[in-house]
Amino acid sequence: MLKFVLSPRWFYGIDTISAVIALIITLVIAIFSYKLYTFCQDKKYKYLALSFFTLTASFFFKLLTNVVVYYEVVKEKVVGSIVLTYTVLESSDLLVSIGFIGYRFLFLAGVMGLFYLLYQHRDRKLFIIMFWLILIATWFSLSNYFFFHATAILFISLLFWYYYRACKTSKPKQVKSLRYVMFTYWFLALSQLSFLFVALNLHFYAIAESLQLVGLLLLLYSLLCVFKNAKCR
Amino acid sequence: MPQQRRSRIDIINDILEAIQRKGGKIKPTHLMYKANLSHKLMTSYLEELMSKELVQEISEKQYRYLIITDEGYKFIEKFKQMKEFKESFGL
Repeated sequence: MLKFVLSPRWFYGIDTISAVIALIITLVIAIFSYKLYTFCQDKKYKYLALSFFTLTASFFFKLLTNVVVYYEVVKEKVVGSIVLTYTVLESSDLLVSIGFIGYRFLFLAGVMGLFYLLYQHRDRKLFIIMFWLILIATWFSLSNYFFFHATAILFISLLFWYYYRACKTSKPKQVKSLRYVMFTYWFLALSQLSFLFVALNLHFYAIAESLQLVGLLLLLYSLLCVFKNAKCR
Repeated sequence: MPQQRRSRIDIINDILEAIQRKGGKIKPTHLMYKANLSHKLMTSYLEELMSKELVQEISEKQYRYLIITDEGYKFIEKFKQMKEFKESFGL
């Protein structure tokens, strides 16, 4: 049995915009990273691009889910027939389910990819175990969304920890730019934490989406700083 | 602290930056010292750079010069972006 968490009514549409922005930001980073890979053939950039492409795909699924949910709501108003409304709900349910599962699995796969890349694990056995973990988390999130968000918090917190350690050990000049990425993961972790409380109050959904947007905008800002600093270098 | 060995792309960038610092034109002998390369290594790198049209060879007053092309300047810019990205994203 799937449990869907919907946003508060006043937030309808805003979360779609947020998903579009998230999709664009992750796509821009993925493309830029892939271009760097073609430039220097360093596999790090290829894996980074792959992870961000996976996150882009996850936001695409989320976007699809949002559109389908809204389609369902509009249809109810316009038609107003019980039989017709029922039919639409049936088909929407399937699409929403696919969207949710796709979003959750790909999001976890994306952050897992980043974790695997940054911590420089080259052990395939660990990769298989982590992949199994995200499969299980996605599967159990069908009955309770807690499993998805808790797993996401775990991976994102570890990413935050990586950048926190990097900030502690890097040169002062480098720390400034690393901090933006560190805070990205800080906001993303807080966002996933807020998602956990959606069952208590739907407004947590709006808070979580906003935190996620702030985090990703910080990531975009750090990419823009890369271009700016490269010119001054 | 021991210095890390330069990668292929680092050496190419060093060669191009050495030419750029000299106003975009340099004598091959000067380049050898500026880029800290042996004659053999520099010849092989220059062949590659010329085949990729990152540098060009010209003759002026009986001297041989190497000049950096627009593609060469683009390479330097991209390399800087790569370094900056690597540092910012902790790769």
